[in-house]
Amino acid sequence: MIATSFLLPFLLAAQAGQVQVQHDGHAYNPHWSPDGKWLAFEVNQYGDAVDLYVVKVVSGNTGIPQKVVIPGVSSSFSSRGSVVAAPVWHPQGNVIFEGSNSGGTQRLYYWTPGGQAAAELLTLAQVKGDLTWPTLSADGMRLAFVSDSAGNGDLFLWSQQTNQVESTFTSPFAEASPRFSPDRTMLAFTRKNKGTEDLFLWLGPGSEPTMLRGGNGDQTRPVWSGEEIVYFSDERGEMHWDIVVTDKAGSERRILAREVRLPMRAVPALTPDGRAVVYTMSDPERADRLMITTLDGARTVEIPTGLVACGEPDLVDIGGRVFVAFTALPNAASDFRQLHILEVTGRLP
Amino acid sequence: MFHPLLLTPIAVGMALAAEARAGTLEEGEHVRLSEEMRRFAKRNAWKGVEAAYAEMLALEAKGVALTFDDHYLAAQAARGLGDINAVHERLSRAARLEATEEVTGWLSELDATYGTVDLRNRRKAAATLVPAQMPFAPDQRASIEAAAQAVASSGRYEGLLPAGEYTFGGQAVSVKPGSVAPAVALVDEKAPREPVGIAWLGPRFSLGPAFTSAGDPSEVSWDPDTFQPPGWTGMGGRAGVGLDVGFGRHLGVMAEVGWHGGFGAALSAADTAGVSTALGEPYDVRGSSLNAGYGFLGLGLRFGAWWLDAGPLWTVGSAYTSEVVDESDGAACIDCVVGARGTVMAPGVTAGVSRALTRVGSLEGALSLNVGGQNDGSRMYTWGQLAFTLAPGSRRSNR
Repeated sequence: MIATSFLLPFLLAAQAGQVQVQHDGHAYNPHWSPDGKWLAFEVNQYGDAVDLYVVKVVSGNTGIPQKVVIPGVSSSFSSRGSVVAAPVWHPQGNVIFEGSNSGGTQRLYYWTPGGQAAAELLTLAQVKGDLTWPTLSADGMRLAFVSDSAGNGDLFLWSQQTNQVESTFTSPFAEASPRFSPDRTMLAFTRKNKGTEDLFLWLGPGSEPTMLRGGNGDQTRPVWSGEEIVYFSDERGEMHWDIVVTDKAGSERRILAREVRLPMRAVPALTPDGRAVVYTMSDPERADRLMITTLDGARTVEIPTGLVACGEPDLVDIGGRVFVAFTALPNAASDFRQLHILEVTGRLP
Repeated sequence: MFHPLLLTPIAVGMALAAEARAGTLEEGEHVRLSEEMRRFAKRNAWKGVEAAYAEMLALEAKGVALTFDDHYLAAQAARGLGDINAVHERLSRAARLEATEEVTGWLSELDATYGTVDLRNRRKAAATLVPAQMPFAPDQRASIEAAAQAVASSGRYEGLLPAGEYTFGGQAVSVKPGSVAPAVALVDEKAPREPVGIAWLGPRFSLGPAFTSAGDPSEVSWDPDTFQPPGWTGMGGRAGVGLDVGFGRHLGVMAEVGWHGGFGAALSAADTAGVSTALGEPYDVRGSSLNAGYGFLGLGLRFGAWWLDAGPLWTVGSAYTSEVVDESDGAACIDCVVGARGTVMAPGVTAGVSRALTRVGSLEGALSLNVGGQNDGSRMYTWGQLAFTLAPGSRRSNR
């Protein structure tokens, strides 16, 4: 419900800077490094390849994006058939992502911007199968991911200190989209069950997951904000996505925004202080702006961008300045979605 | 006629053709290995890449020029296998061929995240290399594990190590990025060698009660020519004074002279009633006795408050004993008292253990238990003493 919210539209469109991508394709899924110096994003060529790029950002201005190449690809210009996607950042500045060559196994890789070539994060000896959905604890010491080594996707944990991989719990279902609680003891995740995706919580070793939200439609891509969990839901109807917040007991639940645009892979984008969620609308008439709603639902801010079909927002605080990266068509006639950066300092609700 | 000189250009031509063919074969093998390397790399099969690169190096020795991609993929293989030093060396070779951004960036990253160490373990026991915190990057973890394996197996690792804090055999090692850490060599700690010199020096006093046993001779005889009275026992005492010198923490020598007395029981009145001496005089009842002086040279060992000493002993003195002779036994009289007085000269050995208890000025006071055994050729003299000993305290004593 947004009945208690009120809208504060800005009359003038903000000026968003556009990142220059050298190759054709739609830009998707931007993710800021924790220090805001780097921005990783995907370029989807809709053929058979998804490429990962990382660009250096200084005061909202970007340089030339650098393509991340996985081992066995000779240069940055010949990775046809590879999928390199789903970046997440380690606090020490490494980007972790999924990667596979054409026909290859999907594995997790890491790369240091401006540094060494990308390399496999976890070896086959440590864990087998296709590895997807990497996510890190806030301190970077724990990694959760999904492996299909046992058939369906199961959740696994890796410890930086021990370099050991361990399974979480056994399940005949396919799990996905894990996210650590701020204290890294719990995991929120989703599970495919009877055709729909449900929201679950795992309290740690020795416990069985408990369902927070199931029923109609999909409940997907959870992200923690303190003790609460924010996620996307289309339980009102297929492809009618809402942003919902619930407590970790699943007892309190409120809809923050309706008819939002579902990102390609990302979780709901929270402001750096975790007090509000940033999203875009599925309605083309209202897809030219960024929407920011506090998690209590009390206030919503709209930031027009002057662009078309905005989506995939991600925010970062760089020394008190807040920037949002998002993708959009520069105009209605554009062929490809581009990556844009906009400073929103002082404009958050 | 076929002129032999015609063979020369033919032979040279054949040789050149063979050399060209060999070069082509090796180049072909190089292409095959390059493709094989790439296939292995796509599967993250770094041992396969490493093996292919080793074959390439053999081809290089035959004149085949390796490419940037060869060295660059080999650097990735070395990283996957934890050989960070090989990573650096192969990247440097790649950079010499083509200083691309990815190679120079990687080399810069190595300089920014690794330092050089020289760790050697010369101890008998194995030493472990333990990081304060394992880094995130797998190549850094692998390089730490490889270094730890090297010091465990060969006792030495020299090369790059991720910047951070470590302990090596319990010793702290700090690795700074881009710098060379001081070499660390672990050695077994030896006990400090005792300096040659006087550890203690001073007078020595010993005083205490003693129990003395003059043993029986092999055969009792009252014959004046083979005079051997029976043995006796008695309480007495010993008192000595001497010099005690210590060399080093534990070792010392001592010399001591003193008095050793022992006093046995007298014949009872019932035994001697009406008995006269051999001279026909009334018997004056007197007990057996030993009055002797002794000299002792000893070797001393000190372990904290415990002292041990042992050494040769020489006793010179006189002894007296008496007996009622009721058999002839060669005696000059029958049923008379025969008093025997003679000189005792008996070498022997003594040993003692002491426990230092108190300090008296510059001396230490100890409770001692001393025992000794001497033989004058006819009988054994054995004795035991509980004594209070004053001896110089050690200047290097831990006490």
